[in-house]
Amino acid sequence: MKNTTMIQSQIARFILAGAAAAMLFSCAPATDKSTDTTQIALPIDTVLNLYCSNVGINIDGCVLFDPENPYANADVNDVSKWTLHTAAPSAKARFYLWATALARSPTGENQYFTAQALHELFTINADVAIKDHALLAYRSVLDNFFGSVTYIAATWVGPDVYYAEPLADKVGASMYNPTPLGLGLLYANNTLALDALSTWGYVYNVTTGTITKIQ
Amino acid sequence: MKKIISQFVNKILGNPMVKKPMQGLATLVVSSFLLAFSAQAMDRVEAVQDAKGWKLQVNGSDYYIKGVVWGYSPKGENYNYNLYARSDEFIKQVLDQEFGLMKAAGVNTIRMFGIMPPRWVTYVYETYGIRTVINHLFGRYGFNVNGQWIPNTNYADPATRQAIKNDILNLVETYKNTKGVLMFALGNENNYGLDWASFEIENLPVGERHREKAKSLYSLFNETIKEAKAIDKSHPYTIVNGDIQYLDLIRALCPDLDILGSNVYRGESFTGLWADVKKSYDLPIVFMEFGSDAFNAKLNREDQQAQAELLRAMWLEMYDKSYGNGAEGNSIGGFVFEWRDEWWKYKQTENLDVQDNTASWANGGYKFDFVEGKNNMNEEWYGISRIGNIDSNGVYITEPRMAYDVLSKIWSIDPYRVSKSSYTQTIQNIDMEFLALRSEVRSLQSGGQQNAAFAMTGGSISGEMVLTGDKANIDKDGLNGIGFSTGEMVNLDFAFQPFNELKGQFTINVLGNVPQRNITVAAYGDRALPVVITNNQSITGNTTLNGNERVEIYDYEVNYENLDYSLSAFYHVPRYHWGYKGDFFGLLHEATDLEGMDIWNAKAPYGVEYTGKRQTPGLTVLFGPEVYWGANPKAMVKYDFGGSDYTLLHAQDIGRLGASSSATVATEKRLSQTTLYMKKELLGTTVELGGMTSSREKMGDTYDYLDGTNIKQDEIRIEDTLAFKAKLSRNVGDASNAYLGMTMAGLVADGGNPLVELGTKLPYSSLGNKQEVEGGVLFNYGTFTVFPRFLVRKNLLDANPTVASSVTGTNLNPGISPRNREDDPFAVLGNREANSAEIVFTYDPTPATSFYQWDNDKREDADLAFNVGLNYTQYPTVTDSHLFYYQQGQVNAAFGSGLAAEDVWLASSHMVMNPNTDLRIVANVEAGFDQSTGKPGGATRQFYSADAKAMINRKHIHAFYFKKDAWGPYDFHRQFDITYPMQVMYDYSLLLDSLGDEQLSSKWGIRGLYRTLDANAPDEFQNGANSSMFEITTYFKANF
Repeated sequence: MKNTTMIQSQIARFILAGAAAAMLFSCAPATDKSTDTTQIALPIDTVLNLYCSNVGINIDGCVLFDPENPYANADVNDVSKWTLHTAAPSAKARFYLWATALARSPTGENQYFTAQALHELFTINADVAIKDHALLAYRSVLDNFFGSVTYIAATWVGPDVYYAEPLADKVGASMYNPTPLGLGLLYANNTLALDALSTWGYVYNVTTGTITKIQ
Repeated sequence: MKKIISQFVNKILGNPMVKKPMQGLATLVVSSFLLAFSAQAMDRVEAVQDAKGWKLQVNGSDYYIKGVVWGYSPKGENYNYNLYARSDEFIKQVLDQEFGLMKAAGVNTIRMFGIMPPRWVTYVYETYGIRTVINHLFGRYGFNVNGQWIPNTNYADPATRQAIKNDILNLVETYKNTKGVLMFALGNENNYGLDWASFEIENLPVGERHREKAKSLYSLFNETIKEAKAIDKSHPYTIVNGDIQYLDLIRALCPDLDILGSNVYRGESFTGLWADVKKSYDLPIVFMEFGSDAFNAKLNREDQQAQAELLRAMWLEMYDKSYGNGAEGNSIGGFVFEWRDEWWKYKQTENLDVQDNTASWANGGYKFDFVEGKNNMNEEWYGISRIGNIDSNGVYITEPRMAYDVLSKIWSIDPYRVSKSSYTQTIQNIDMEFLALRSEVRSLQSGGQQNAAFAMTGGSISGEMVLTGDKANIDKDGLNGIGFSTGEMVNLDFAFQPFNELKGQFTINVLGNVPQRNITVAAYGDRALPVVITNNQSITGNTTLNGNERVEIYDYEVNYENLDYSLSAFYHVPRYHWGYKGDFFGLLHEATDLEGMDIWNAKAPYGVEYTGKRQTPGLTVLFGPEVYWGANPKAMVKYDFGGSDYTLLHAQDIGRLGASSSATVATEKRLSQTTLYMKKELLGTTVELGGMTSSREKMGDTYDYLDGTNIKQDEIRIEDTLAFKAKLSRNVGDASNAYLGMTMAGLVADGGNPLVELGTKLPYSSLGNKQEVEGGVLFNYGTFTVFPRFLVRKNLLDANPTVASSVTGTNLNPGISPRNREDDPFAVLGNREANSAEIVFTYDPTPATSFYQWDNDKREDADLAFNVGLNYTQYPTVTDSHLFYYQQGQVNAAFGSGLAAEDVWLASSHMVMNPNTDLRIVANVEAGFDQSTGKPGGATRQFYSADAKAMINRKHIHAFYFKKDAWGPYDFHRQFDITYPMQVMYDYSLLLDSLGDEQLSSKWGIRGLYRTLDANAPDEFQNGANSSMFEITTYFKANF
């Protein structure tokens, strides 16, 4: 018993001494292994690697861990996102921006503009995977944020005047007739787009430009 | 006396010729003579010796001491309990019960650890014929020397010697003419407590140091006795020695000792003690303590028969050794330890309302439960009677054990008048089987519930009526704007013990109505408030759920104990930290604020604890869903080794708490912590060292920081998980103490709750990312202490400022923002850079009731005890962002930015006053300047608060508080920086029984709350529409 106790005590003293030494060494100037992130190059290419199967879809936050996401650690919030959107040099950059905003704050607006960035990217690179992902994102706006709106500046009325535009309707428009928006077709024809919406449980009124849920 | 005088006067001077004035003068002369005679006719107690041995005689009559060690310690109280602070009526009720039973048993003398006031000594003697030994403890547990409390009495110190001697001489002066005093006794095993250090003896070999100290002790004994005899020669003097250690020194140094008193625990026989004393120092012997506990540590159950058998054997031997029986003849009796169980003996300040079964020392003389290597002396079970239930007068009933019955038969014998063969036969023929059966029946009848397999043990019924209102509603609707609601609640307590090793208790809570309140936004019982489920999709609209959670298990505790281990399952019962048991980093938080938890219907602590004994000594395993309030589901393993000088502790979270433990406190990520602790005494300094690795799960997590004007990103590495802590403490002078501490902790090396002691307000933090130094000196001047302290802390990495993101060409300037503990591996919060200094002055003339004990408000016995403290803290840097729990989203959310740099301060005072036995006042006063604990941007607040509670006649309780510009009473008020210009509370309650305990007594009361509002409470203020609110509650509670 005594020998065991002595051995235990000796081991404990050794470990404590080691811990003290480790701390003292840690206080000494160590080799700097940090990365300077004062400036990060934004992507200007059109090849997007989807980091996970639901990147940029609803609450999936995997985009925050995507090493190619320049906005992962940036100060993206409800105010700064607009400035950063305007300054983003490419659709790919805009995708990362809005997906980051979505991961941090799951709102219909963030989801819609993520979808729009994917749609924009597909328009440029015709990547089917991107097209499918854009459709996932659009559907997420309808399924998860159906009643959400975005605010459009009513510049013809005056400064700081905004009107609300239902995001579901914008999804319908983007899917049914994206051409006026400068975006490519997601379906061979707009009937297929209506069918897809119907399959999801929604009806797009082509006359009024509004979407309703099938009860 | 008056009749005697007048008869005498009439007879001798009845001549009608004697004029009245002469008769008056004669009366005066005779009265004086008779009074003088009666003063001289006080008891004369002396030990006398002839060839047949020693006897004690009182006024010439033989007196064999048939004594018990007596004290009155109710359940829930300890050595600080003062019976004589109660009313005379209550004291008499207690004494009548106790001494009535003693008299029936044949007890003729008591010995006490306290001092019974002279009038009660006389009362007990005149009413029950029982005498008292006046026992001064002779500084055994510390002494007040020239106003300074010295915990380890130094008998070599001249000032100490004089102080003790003076105190005893005063005592002798006080009691010399008190009827009922048998003798004076000095000390209690002082020879076992010779712990002081001094330069004169430190150079001696260890074995010799104690002997030198003993010489000082015994020389002082004799010096005192000699001078005391000059005051009172009518009573003998003895000491209370631990066994007969240092008998040679006693003989050499105590020539004036009349009787040798000693505490002896040798088992059923006192072996060669009688012969040793007769040979070395031929004095009569009185055992000031002897006896046996009534708990069998081997079988883990009460064992009345073993106790009774041992006591029978001891008394038979004592009679054999008394005068005229052919042996040494030096036994003059003894005091059985003890009259009644005391539930405070194990741990002394904890678990006072539970009778602990733990054996705290070993003695092979008690063979009935002795096992080599194990303790078998159960200190809380020494009584020849038990503490029973409380009666209607508030007196705890004494329930005799079998030993009481056996001793009654033994004490009915006068060993000086009955032959040895006769009393031997009588004692040996005591029908032990019958008395054992009788004691079993008695146990079943009176204490049956204590041993029942299952029983309801009590409970309470309470009700309340609540009026609420605010100015906005009253302005709008008049009296119809005042809300009224009622509430009812029942608690039912149950206990169970299906077999010896397993026992437990639980409480069921049942709710009737639940009142709606406005100021008291959360209270226990709110779980049953209606729940409205919002359903936008439903045609029928919202759904209201009523009647939910009306019945719940409020708490439970189950303990299983055998010789190898103990296992306890606990649910919402108080649990203590391990801060004094090797948990240097405070990983296990204390969970005793049940009232605070009940407000949020929190159920912590909740878990199971295993404690190893025989096969796994030193091992403790604790696991559960929430082992302290706010804990993640976790397991903790602690191993004490190296003679308890070392502790290895590992805590592992095995999940994450699903929701906030209160309304808004954020949940924490899973992590693990491992610590190693060492404590050693080196050259008079206590050295404590600890190392920790924590949050290894965060290794590889990235974080950013500002380095000059550059933003950098790094990741958590192994060195960021390490912490090292050291503390040195050392006695300074006789009673003061200095300490110095240091902590270095890596970025994510988060610990637990540091120990907060002696009223400190230093800004401790459990979080890592710091280099910290603290220190202080506790100057102890006996009745008052002064404690200046400081704490200086620097961060390894400061909080992040806010730098907005922007784009330059095709380059993103990501900016930087304050961290938070949800999105980042660490954040600078309570561990922010700080320079803090404080000083606390404490006045406590009765240091035996520690002012900083957790229940001091109830136990403090000084006329006035108080402290005054001032703390000033500089926070030169900002913090990162705090989190709060967002109930609707069931997620943690960040405030977004941190608290500003600021200097804060706090002045406070706590007071306890007992101006007389019928009045007790506890009061607090505070003024300060401080910040919120979460929401940034608000102003730092200057606030004031005062509160007091007065208990009058143990029946009427008045409580109030007044706060100006202070945060509301809940944590979220400070978290969200919600303050009120004025908050007032007044509460009156009437206790309906004689318990006089605010928690335990049945009561009726009324409470009023009022507050004024301003923009700092926006939800209630409603932009000025509402300027005040009130709440009035009448309540009753019946405990049974």
